Amino acid sequence: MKRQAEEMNEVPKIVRDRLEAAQRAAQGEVHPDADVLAAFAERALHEDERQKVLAHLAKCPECREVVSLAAPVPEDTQIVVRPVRKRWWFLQPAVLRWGAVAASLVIVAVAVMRYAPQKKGQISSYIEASKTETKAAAPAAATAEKPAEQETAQSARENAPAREKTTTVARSDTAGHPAETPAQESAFLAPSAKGAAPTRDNTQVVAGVVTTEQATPAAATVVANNGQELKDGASQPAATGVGGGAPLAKARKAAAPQKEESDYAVAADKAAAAPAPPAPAAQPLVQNQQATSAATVGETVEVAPQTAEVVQSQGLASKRAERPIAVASQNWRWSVTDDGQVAKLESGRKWTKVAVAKHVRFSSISASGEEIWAGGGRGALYHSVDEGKTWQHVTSPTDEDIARVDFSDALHGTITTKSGAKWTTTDGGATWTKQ
Amino acid sequence: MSEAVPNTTRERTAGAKAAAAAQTADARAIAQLYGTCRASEFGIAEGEFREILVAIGVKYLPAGSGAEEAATFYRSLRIEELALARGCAAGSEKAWEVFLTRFREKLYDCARGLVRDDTNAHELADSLYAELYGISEREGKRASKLASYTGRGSLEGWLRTVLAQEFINRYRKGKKLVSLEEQAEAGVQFEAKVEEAAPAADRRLEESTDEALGALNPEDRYILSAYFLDDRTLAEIGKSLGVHESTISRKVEKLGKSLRKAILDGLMRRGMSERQATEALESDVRDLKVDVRAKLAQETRGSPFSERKKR
Repeated sequence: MKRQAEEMNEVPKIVRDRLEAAQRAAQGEVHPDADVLAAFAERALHEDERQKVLAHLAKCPECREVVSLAAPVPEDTQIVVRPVRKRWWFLQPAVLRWGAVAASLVIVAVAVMRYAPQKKGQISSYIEASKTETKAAAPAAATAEKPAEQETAQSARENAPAREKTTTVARSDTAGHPAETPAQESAFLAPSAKGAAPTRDNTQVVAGVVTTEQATPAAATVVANNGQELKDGASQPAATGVGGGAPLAKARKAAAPQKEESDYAVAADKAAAAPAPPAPAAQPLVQNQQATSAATVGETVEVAPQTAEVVQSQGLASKRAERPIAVASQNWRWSVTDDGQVAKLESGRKWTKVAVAKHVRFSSISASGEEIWAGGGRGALYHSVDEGKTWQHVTSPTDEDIARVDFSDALHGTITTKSGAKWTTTDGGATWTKQ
Repeated sequence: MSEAVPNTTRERTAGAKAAAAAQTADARAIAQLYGTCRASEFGIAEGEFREILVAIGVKYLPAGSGAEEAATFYRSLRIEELALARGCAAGSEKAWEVFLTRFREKLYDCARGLVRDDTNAHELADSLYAELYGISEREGKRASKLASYTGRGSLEGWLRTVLAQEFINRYRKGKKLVSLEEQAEAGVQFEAKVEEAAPAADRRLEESTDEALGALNPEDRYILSAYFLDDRTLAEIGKSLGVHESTISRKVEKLGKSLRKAILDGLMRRGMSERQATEALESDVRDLKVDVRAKLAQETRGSPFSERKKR
């Protein structure tokens, strides 16, 4: 199919001519000082003065050239996909890394603290006592832990930072919920009550504690604040395990659509914000957490790297979700307009609508070099191998609207439908596998 | 009539008192600013400093501005950088030391951004340094370009602007001095002179367009000129106005539509029917000129003299 380009930004020729005529007429005008032009570029002028400078700039090509050249960063060295979203300070890799380490130390401390009294010759009595006291004490412990879990879930939803925010939450827990503290203390003081509830095995008890603390970093920090001695040995695996908490919240946030200024980005945003991509990405993490909760201490060490892997893939997923405008090269960008048409930005100047297929409302586009893939309503999928000059229809495996297209090259790619179904191909769309 | 004299005298006295009070307030604000910047460190006495600020005020403040307005204006200036620049212009070693530490590398970076070639960038930056230092003399005094800095914007922004002006001047000079060999290589000497006289457009069309353009605000006219005449990218225009490129994209599209409508309205007001107005706007006589040019250009490309173009 031949490309039919339609210029989106055009004015009648007479407008250019009259603008040029106005320029010629204003040739003798006095130019603003370098000082004023610098202040204009830095937006340091008063409004009336700024308007005067703008009126002069509209008629003076020399001053426009100066203003453009005096801009701080050379434009063509940048490859901008879209304005970079501000990343919260607590989501910085360094903070996450150290936050995860700190959280793991806290968890180990809790484990050690709970484990230590049992070690001091109390194991047998503990098992004995648990046999008799379990039924009475278990509900008490359960009620004591439940609010803490709820609170932690709340704090996780608020995108709690790995280190500092959990500390504050912990402080407010101890101060703001006095009812919890005695209950937790009683659980500490009477290990039989808590430990016997899940099982009588010491190892399993510790595993239970670890999982609980993964779910409740707030409680874990309380222990750290109490100044317990921490052991370094077991910190690393647990650290990776717990570190997944913050990215989970982050990934959920990243999945939510954000209103951006870009008009073309909006259409693509809709595609990126479809429910499909975040859901499957978030699921494995939840499963992993469940797996962790059922694990023993030994298993926790094994589970942790898996969790780290999930976090990594989660990060990738969120990155992809933030890529509504596809980049093909330094000079070309692709997007989908509000009315579902494919558009390209050439040399950073003109968004031009590209007619790909009639009666198809496109919602997502993916570009890699000269390979462009566009997906839209009723499973429509089109592919161009020549930077959008010609397009071929590709048979897609679904009749549903395609919400997202993601191709890394000519062969490998994934399409996601509006309902969240994912299809993958490794042969350029000849065969598809449902995920 | 006899009563009017004492009244006028009283008014004059009051006016003189107000002026004196304003001067006092002005002087107080300047003295305060002198204390906060490092002017004394750069060898500028308070009296000189006051003169500098008053001269800047005279240049930029609207006539009849009061002492309060003047004080606010002085406070809005980049006083510390102004003191540094004026200290350098006066030849203070300390000021130059600070200036070179802060701006030397930045200036070279900026020159590199303009020229993209290390040797030429250094040459460009060094020529500006010479002007900043003041190699020429005026009335027996070294004339430093830094003496023209008034602190409206940052010193770094001013340096970038001055460097850009220097670059454009050099580029123009360089453009004029093209050797005959280069011209021969490009086949320029055989090019036929293009006939500049363009067929005149309908007077009503010109008037309507001027009217429509005149109704736009200066920012919109700037965007149109930068986009359609200078071929600037959306990002470049956005950066110069401090807005995102998508805002400019939207504006350009919207301006195109609104201008077309305004011109059509103007043509209809000048007695054209809607159809006539649309035809006048769409089939501009200049199109004919462009087509002829394009055709001529195509034929010229085939000539044996323009080898470079042929390739």
